[in-house]
Amino acid sequence: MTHVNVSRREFLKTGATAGASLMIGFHFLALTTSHRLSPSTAVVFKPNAWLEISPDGSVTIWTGRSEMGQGVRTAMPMIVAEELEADWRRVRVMQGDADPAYGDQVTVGSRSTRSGWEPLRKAGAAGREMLISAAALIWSVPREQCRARSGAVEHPASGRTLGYGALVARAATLPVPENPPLKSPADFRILGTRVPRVDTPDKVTGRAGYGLDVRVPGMMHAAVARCPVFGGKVKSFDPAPALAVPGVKQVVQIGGGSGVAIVAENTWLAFQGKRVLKVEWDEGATAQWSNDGISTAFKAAAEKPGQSVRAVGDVDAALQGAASTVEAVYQAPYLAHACMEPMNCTAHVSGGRCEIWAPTQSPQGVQREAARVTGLPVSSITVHVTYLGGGFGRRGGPVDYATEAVELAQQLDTPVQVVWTREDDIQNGLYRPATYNVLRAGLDAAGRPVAWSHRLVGPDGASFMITRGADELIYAIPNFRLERVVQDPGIPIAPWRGVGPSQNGWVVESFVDELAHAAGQDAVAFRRALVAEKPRLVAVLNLAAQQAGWGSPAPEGRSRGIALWQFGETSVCEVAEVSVGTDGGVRVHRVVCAADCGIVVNPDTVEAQLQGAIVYGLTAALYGEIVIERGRVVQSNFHDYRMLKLAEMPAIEVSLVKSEAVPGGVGEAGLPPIAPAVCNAIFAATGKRIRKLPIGRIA
Amino acid sequence: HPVQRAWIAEDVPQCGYCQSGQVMAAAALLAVNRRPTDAQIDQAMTNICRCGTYQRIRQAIHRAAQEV
Repeated sequence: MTHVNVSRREFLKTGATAGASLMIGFHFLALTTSHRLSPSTAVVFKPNAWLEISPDGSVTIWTGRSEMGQGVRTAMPMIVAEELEADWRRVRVMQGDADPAYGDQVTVGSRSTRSGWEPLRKAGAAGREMLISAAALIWSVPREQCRARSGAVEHPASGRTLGYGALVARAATLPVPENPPLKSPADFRILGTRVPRVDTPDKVTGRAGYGLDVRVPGMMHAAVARCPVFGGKVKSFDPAPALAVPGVKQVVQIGGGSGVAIVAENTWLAFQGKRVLKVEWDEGATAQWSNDGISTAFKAAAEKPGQSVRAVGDVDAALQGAASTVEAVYQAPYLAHACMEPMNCTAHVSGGRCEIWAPTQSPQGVQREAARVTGLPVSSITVHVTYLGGGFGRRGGPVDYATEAVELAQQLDTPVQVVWTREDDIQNGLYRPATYNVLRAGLDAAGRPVAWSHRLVGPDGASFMITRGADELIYAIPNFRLERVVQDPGIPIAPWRGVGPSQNGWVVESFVDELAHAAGQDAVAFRRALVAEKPRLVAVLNLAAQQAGWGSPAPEGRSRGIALWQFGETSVCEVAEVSVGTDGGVRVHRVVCAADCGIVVNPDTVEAQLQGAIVYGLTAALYGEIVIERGRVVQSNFHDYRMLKLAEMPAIEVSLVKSEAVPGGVGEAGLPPIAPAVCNAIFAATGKRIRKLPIGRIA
Repeated sequence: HPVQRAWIAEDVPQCGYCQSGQVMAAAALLAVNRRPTDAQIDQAMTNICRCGTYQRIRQAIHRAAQEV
């Protein structure tokens, strides 16, 4: 085997200056992008949008949700296949286009399994019941004597069997039952098992097709120059230097003046054209904002009462009468999603139709946006969904990447792919909001919290982005108030993995730890008493504490911290084992995660999602900060927006509580507790409270 | 390739976008070091994974090392 002795950077640099073009042809489109549901000419059994069985017995299951690494492309079909009693080895998965037949396709909020659970089971069960009926009719036996098992219908009394393929023609003539009986979880043979992910083989052989890989005949490639200050507009631009680059074809303004697109024969030339384009920007109001000013403005805004989001009892009176009070201010920064695949979208507007290929979490959102931009009816707009090189909320909406591509496509005859660089992504993106949080709590003489007041200052935005997770605590505290104060510097925001809970989890669970400490109580015991009425939370708390060895001494030089959270219906508890070096460097050695997410569809995927969310949240806690300077983002790439590397990875141990409850969703649940667990461990190690993220070095 | 087989057995990829690079880096490591220690894996595997598959990458390298 040849020894690799040229670094990637050297290879790419040499290739470019030698004039070599890195054109790699893929015929992946047929393999991995989505297709529209079209009426089949052959006789197939297709009782609903989700499944199709051919006369040869092969089963096609369609998925309407986007695959961004969370395993939905495997998990959703597993649900259909289980109830259908399909032979999983004969199942092929296809990605559906934007289509109302799939219901709501937006892939956000850890909702896919939760919201798909009932409809997908019914879809599979309907198919199964029709196949049983078909066999019973063919055999002239009562259908109660027949049963479906792994791709065939059996009649045990006579020993007869018919594979699904042989039943297709007859089943296709039968009415579709509206409320077919569902299997008992005790009879599950696919669900709950470690089914290998259907996308893994493509992803380890380079065959997986992402948005950036889309190649359509005659397409052009585009880069967009955007004002470095958010909200800025084009004042004037000189396209001549860009047009002078051979291969650059057009330079057009888009977005009502928010950007200038450089259209070229390939992406590299589009980037070269953008580099030399001359643009004068009207920077706008956001240019006045820098990090220090934002903090100062947040702090000043916190001096005044805000709008009450939720209030229980009488917080002010309870604080007055409390035996002791604790106060703290917590500050969380703006964060970027930093998906590994930068934003991109391919669009073609022609002849009264619009066709789009995108790595999107919201194909129907893209469809609606394209309808708005073009004025075309939604029915004339096709959206194909590729694999996503990471989503994390960035691609769920607003669908800015699609707006740009469609606006540009309208001005061109050809299809066009708009590609963002990593720098574009980090500096012209949408962010997890920064917040400033004033916490006050009162404890009674026994150390129980009797009052909790939270004043949350942050940008304008929907409640799930700003206040969720801070609005309703899992803890029984009789007097509670959450107030909201809006202070908006004009940095655009979007949901970021975990959303409101991504910052509120840290705020709440760190402050709860402060209360436990003030009460002189153990962090686990303190929480256990406050969730005594909630057995699922008690169970994960106890399991994590037990697995982590809480109560027994930590290994030499290490300290432990704990955090407990409920994300939707999923309960999760994490214990972090941390050491702090003499140089103040924080090292997370081990994370124990106990979770109850209801019925587990695929335990392998659930573990991977919990591990992944922990890494995503830990990276943010240790290093994550988007710094604003004169309305611009300072960071630009992974050299200054630091990522956790393999060498810094803690050992993560996941334990799942066995449950019969409806699936609770796991894509995000592991994230809210990790920052507070680590910060609480740092407190145990050093006596220092982390009240401002990122953690960085401990002074 | 043993690395690809190990990647499949451990179901390493999530979004998969970094995985071509991870697989190449792992293959290059195993080409010069047939039984890398955890510390050697730490040093050699500097590719970033945004989805956080590092633990499985490490497991898969150890697994592939047994086959190579």
